Amino acid sequence: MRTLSTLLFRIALWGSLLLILAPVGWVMLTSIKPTQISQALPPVWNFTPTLQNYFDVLGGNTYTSQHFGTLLLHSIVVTVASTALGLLVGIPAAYALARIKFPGKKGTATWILSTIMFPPAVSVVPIFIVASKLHLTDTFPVLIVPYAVFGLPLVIWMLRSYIKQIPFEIEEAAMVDGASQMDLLRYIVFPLLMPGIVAASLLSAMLAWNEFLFALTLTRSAAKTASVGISEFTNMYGTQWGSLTAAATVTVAPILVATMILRRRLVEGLTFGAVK
Amino acid sequence: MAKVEFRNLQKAYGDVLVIQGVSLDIADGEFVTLVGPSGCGKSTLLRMLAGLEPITGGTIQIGDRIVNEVAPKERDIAMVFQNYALYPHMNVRDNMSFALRLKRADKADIDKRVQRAAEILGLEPLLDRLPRQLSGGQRQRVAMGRAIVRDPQVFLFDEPLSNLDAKLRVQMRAEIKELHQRLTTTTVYVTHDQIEAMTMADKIVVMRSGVVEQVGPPLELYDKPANLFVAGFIGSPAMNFLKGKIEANATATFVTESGVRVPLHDAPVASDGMLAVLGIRPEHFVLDAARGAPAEIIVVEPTGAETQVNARFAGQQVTAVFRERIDSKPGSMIPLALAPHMAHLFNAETGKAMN
Repeated sequence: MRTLSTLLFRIALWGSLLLILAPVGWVMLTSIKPTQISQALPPVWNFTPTLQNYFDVLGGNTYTSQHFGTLLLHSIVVTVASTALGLLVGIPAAYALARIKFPGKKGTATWILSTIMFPPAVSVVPIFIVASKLHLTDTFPVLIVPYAVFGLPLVIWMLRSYIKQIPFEIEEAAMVDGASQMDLLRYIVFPLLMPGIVAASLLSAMLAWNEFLFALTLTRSAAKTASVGISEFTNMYGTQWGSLTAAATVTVAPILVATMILRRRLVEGLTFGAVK
Repeated sequence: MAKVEFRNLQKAYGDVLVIQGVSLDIADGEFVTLVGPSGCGKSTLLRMLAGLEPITGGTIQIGDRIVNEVAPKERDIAMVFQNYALYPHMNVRDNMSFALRLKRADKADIDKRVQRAAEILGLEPLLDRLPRQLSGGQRQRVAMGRAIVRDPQVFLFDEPLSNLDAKLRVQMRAEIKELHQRLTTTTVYVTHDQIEAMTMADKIVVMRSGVVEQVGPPLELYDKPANLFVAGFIGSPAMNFLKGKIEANATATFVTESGVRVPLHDAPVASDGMLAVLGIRPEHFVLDAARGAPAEIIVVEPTGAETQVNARFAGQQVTAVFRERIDSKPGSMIPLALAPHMAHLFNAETGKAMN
């Protein structure tokens, strides 16, 4: 009976996995098909793979308003900057919540966590209005700041759990050795927190890299990101499926590779503190 | 080096007073041990001295300075923690030099001091290793090395040997004592192990429930305990206690509850008929067929150097230690007597020593 239920569970698991991965697989397969057969029904499975779609996308030979390489660069700038800003604020905040006694600490921690429930989409119009008034639309800061802010609760809570796992005696030893609060953070907490920082950075970067709605609403060209750029492969001339799927693969690839390399840290970061 | 003074020191967590008005003087260069059962406040007292716990009342003075509001880093003290608290991401050299690097000390001076400490503690071959690559004893030495390089006014040790096995503990005890003799730095050492206290300290402070029960050199506490608690805590095996009353007529006698009459060297003034507790150390029992009372052997534990005997004497279980080998088996009777000069009398009501 147990063997049967295990077998059924595994079938369901593999089935779900195939269902989730099928679109990703289709995108990648289509990206290496010649354009002429990319939309053929029934699908053509026997073909000579080609990288022409990738050359077109990265070489700018597509019918889009901007070179896709430029949009990738914009995505990198926005992702790195928002992740860095999130860590700059998140690490001290996590440390304060983990170690420092202050009035209203518990309430503050709960409130920070509760902001995860706030749907970012609700704020896109107010942010657009404020950004317009400040002449910040279609600039990097208009994406960097909201991305950093919306990722902060996750960063703070993850890092708080990591910090609590560092034995406090190590910090006390450093205090007795002559460390100030900044010395503690710089020489003791920060190095020991590195696994947590890696995990929090990756999650924060993924959210920023993949974000579409804010980028679509708040940017036009100067700060447009790759996730918006992919949608422009569909225009009045039709859909350039080869270029679109190549662009999508190029956009997804960095996150996929980073996740595969750092997946252990990612799981650690997501589950750290779950078991005392 | 510096003296340390506690004056009416108090520590409260909310409404709970865990340190209740402790006053203590530690002379320059002295090795003082704070000893007591778990929860007595010894570690809290040490942490207050280190500046890691805020003080509720009273003062702490290091040298000529009252340090109540002084941060730990400004107190010129070094501390060895129970679980060593080494910096796991730094090698031994960097662990030991961390404090000096924070002070931006001269590199040559840092290297010299680290090298000297490493030589003293036998750490030279380990300087490039990380803490996770060290054994428990090696980590303990690194923790001590980290304290030594700072050349502080006071060393603080918070149960540093608790996590070591028995054999290593004995070895490290001697090393710490030797280190103190060499460096002569004022040392405050916290332990729950009274053997560590007895063997290492110039002065022992016995604590219970936030109060100092007695302060004095080890042998003074051993020979003249101030109350029942100190008498039972210091010494291993522990002192035996017999309840009864004093008869202070022609010959001073202690009569146990079971009626066994124990002659006393002398009786305290105005103690006739007083309920008391007679304390006798295991090694102060003698086998005396003439004046001994019968005791039934329960267990005989030969350790080689001596023989420990658990027996039922005067209605209760006692532990006696003899230098000679005891051939008697469990269940047999032996004549146990007390050396009169060695008996301790305690007031049954207050627990205080009467002689």
